[in-house]
Amino acid sequence: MVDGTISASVFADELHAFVELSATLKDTWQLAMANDSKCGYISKRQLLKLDQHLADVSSGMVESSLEVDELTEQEVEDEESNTIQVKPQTRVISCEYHVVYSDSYSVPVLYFNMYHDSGKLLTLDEIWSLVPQIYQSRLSQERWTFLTQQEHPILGRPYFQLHPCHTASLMKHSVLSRATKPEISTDTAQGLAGVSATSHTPSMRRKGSYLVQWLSSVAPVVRLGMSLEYGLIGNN
Amino acid sequence: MQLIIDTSIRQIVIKTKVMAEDREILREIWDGRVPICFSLASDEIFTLEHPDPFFLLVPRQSYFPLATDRVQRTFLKHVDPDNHGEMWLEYESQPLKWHYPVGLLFDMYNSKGPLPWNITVHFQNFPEDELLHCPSRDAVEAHFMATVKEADSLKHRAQVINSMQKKDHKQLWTGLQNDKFDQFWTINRKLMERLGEEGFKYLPFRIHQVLPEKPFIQKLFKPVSDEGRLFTLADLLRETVPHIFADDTSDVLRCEVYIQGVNPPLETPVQWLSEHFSYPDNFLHIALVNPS
Repeated sequence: MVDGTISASVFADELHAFVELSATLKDTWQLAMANDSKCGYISKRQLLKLDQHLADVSSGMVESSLEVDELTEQEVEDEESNTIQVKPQTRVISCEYHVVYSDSYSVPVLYFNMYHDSGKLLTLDEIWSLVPQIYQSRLSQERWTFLTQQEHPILGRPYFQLHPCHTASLMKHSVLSRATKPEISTDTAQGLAGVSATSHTPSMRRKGSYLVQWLSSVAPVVRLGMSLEYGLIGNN
Repeated sequence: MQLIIDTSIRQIVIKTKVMAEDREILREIWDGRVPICFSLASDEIFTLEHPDPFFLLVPRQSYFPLATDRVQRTFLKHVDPDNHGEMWLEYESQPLKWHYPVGLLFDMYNSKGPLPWNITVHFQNFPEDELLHCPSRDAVEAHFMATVKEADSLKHRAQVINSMQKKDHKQLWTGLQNDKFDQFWTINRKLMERLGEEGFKYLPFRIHQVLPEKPFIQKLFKPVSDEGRLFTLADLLRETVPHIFADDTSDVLRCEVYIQGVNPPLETPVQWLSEHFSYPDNFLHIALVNPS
């Protein structure tokens, strides 16, 4: 946990707690068990209405046009593909999100697919066009190390994957982990009493809060809806 | 005292010799080629003139998208210009995953079949529920590097790959892409170094089962026990796919085990296999093939 990773058994506990939390908040995360010894995964389906994303995409373009100097040729092309992408005949995109544990990285991994109403998968370019502009510019140098299509480790079918190699460092530097540091020194613990809302030691940490923290930081990139109440309840 | 020195010198001599021979093994594996005959799917031929089949010797360690540019250009002239999409490959109704090394696909589907390997080329009805899209070589590179990173995460907690520079990563990729053994192994050697004396933290391996086709099996498995015993291929298989053993006591298998085109003895230490029989993506890809 201190290094931002979690073990498979902690992940399994987190999954159960998270699904309970989801039910409390009337969200629709479901637990799916894998057939062999793997610890299972959670999934959620969601519809994306195009008029909503149309608005977002255009606002993103206004934003980035202010920084036109920083746009690379590639980004300009992508912007053009944004406008092409937003076709009136595509109304609703259905999304499927999975959270799966990676043994190799000891962290949760987000897999997802998005489908047109024809049932056809969105392409990588189309997925990128849905990524909010603020993340697009930040990730422009790392496109291929951040989001790629991969074989789903449990289903064996193609899914898009947010690459897990940065997850541990993200979680290491998260507020939650910083708040757990006092466990090393009591003096600092007292000094940090002001942030007691999140200053649980790993063992006292509310179950499910690792997933809440991680998922809420990656969700906006891939249009995954996540209520703010997750944070409130998860940290009480 | 003399005796001890003699023994240790002899051990060094043996070790050096073994290492030299082992390097030859790396070279042999790198030089492996698969003779392939590519044919355009007959129901997708649009022109009156039928294209000739296309013959290639494809490196086992490579990926199809790195080898099939000319196949694609040639066959594209014979398909409906208004109705074609991304190229994909099929062997006996089995779509071939481009993100697996060519040698692994060959072991999985044609290890007992005739040569050349007859592969059908399609430009329609891309099976996107089975195959990853391959929009460009960037996709292949991204997939390759992600797999190398994952392997190093298992072997060295990613310390080796993360300590490398971007140009080293690039050299790995270009070495593979251009089929340059020395260029590739100059960098890959570092990824194959052991942490301490014993071995890797975990073994990067995937077990691919054919018929029925299932998602590959990948688990945490230490190549060396805490007491320093080297685990063998038999140990690995018993731990991960016990059902392939005929019974609990003997090492008789219900299927054949292929790694890099050969059936390695089951008593081979997996640490050695990982160092010498891994594909360039740094994973030991094991194909379980039913006896025909």
